[in-house]
Amino acid sequence: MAIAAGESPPSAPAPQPSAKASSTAAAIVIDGLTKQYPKVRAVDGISLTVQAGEIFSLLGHNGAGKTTTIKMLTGRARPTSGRAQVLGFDVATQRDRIKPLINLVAEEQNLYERMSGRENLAFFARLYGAPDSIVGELMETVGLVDAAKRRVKTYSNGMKQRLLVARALVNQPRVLFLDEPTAGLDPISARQVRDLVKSLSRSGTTVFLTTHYMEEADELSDHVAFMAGGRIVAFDTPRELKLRYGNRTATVLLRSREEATIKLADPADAMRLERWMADDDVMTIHSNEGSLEDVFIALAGRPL
Amino acid sequence: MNFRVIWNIAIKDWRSASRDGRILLALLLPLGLGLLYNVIIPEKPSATIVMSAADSTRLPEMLKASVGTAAILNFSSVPTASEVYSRVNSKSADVGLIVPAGFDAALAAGAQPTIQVVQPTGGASFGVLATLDAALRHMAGQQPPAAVVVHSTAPSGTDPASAMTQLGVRKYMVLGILVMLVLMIAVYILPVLLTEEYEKKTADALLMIGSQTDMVISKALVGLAYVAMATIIFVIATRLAVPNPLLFTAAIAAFAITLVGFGLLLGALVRSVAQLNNWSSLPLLLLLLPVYFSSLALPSVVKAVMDALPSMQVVRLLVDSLSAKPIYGNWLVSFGIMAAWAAAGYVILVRSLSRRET
Repeated sequence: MAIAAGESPPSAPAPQPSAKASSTAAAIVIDGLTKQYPKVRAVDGISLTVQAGEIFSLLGHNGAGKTTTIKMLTGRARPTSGRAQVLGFDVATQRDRIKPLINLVAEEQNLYERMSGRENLAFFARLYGAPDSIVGELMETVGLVDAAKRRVKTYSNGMKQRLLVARALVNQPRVLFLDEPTAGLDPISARQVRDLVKSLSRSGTTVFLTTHYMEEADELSDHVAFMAGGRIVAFDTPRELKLRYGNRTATVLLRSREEATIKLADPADAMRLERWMADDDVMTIHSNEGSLEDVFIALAGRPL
Repeated sequence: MNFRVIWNIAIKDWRSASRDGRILLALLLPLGLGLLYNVIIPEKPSATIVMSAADSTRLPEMLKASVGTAAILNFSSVPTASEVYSRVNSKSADVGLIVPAGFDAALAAGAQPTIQVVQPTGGASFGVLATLDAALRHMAGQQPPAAVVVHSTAPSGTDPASAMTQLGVRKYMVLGILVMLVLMIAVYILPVLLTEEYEKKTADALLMIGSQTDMVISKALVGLAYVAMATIIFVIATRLAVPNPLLFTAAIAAFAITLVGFGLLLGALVRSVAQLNNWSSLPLLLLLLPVYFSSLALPSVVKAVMDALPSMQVVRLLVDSLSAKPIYGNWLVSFGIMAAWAAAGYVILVRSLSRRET
């Protein structure tokens, strides 16, 4: 993944493409993409590249421009300026070429509630010209076989979310957009959805994810980007971002049962640690690698 | 345009009617009203006559012959005069006749027997009294003093009151309900189907493979299919005789196509089904009122406005299609006015949708 040089904040070091990114083809290429609504610039000239087969997470507050970006990439909103390509096709002029190759799990549970789970899937399978057999396979994949004939309005949130994921797979998309796919789910349902996303990625599907949950992005993503005020303020692998922006500290437990936090970049703290080690005073040392939450606070000034 | 998407959305919406109480009600209400009007409004005026006669008499058949086809007379016999009064008082009969013994023979012999007519105070005798004299003269073997030849002329006006006179109240009222049925489908059911897709965000999922145009065309097809099915059921259920089926079909089709555009426009403009429930009654009433109220003494400007409405024009066409002889004529003008409305509706709809982003 790469980002245009002008898009990063001045203080951010130039991002480095990962080995995976540099060795695979681009699934999504965004160049100066902007969406201006009458009273607000929702997306402000963003540029980035998502490589085929990777899981990419776009993080940011509500109103940061994540959903608008997905809308433009899926052809449901027209860019005001800039360009974006999905699988080599322009989102503004070649939408009909892109549509069969992508799919979306939207933030809202937008299912037909008077229809059964199976009917929902069968309807979308017919829209995409997919074989009927895929309906049963997907119901099994998401663990809804027993509830297949029940009306969706009787489903729990977790079941609906799994059905949404199944629906987004009826056309076996090469790029799958997931807009807050685990929002409001209980931990078990969220885990099931995350496992589905991982297995999709293993099968070669490119996943473009937006989420509020930093741990989720950290666990799933090959690359993440932080969005604020319609602009991308940072992107890289989760590990690199944490190393770059996180607190490089360690907690030292001494024989006296005293805990001390030392800054790894501080020469004075380094000398203290050296002295404790020499005196055999150290019981344990835990490195305090920063979290993505810390990175986001460092960049945006407030937590997600 | 993706025909597979259009077809499958249309099938989905067609089936949804059986699961959606609002849609079922909107379809069944006009059908029920049509059937009700069909039952409670008689095709011809009719009267129930209760008669007490000491012996057999030809009076009922003479009265029926005198009334002819202008009304339907139903006779029933009771044994006593007091029962005649009782039936009329209890309103189980409109008119009562008490015929003395030997009535027919007395008439034939030139005598003047007395026949008593019982009717409620201030009640109408439904033409029985007017025809009684002619029937009695005939039974007495008398020639009428003069031959009366009646020529009925069609009402000269082309307002709904004249049409109602010529077509008959029952047929006109049933026709009005048919117009209401098309309005309910186009201005309520279709907007519900479209608005709900946007409100519940299912449109987002549809637009991942289809387009706004695909979605709107599929809804329009469903609307037209609903109109076709409902009209056929309505005509059969109300036993509506249609002398000019071609004009009838063309009129309903033109009206449906016109209103479907406006219905979808309404569906695209409102943000929720709750809003639609509040606002859809306004166009419904505006379009339905001229059908029933344009015969009132209204200022000419108001009448001109009513004449410019598609609902007024479809009524003209339907009246002509249901009459043995056309009353209004000028069919091309009626179709032209509807075509103008349709063109305006679809142009605004397309412009509105082309700007729409989910």
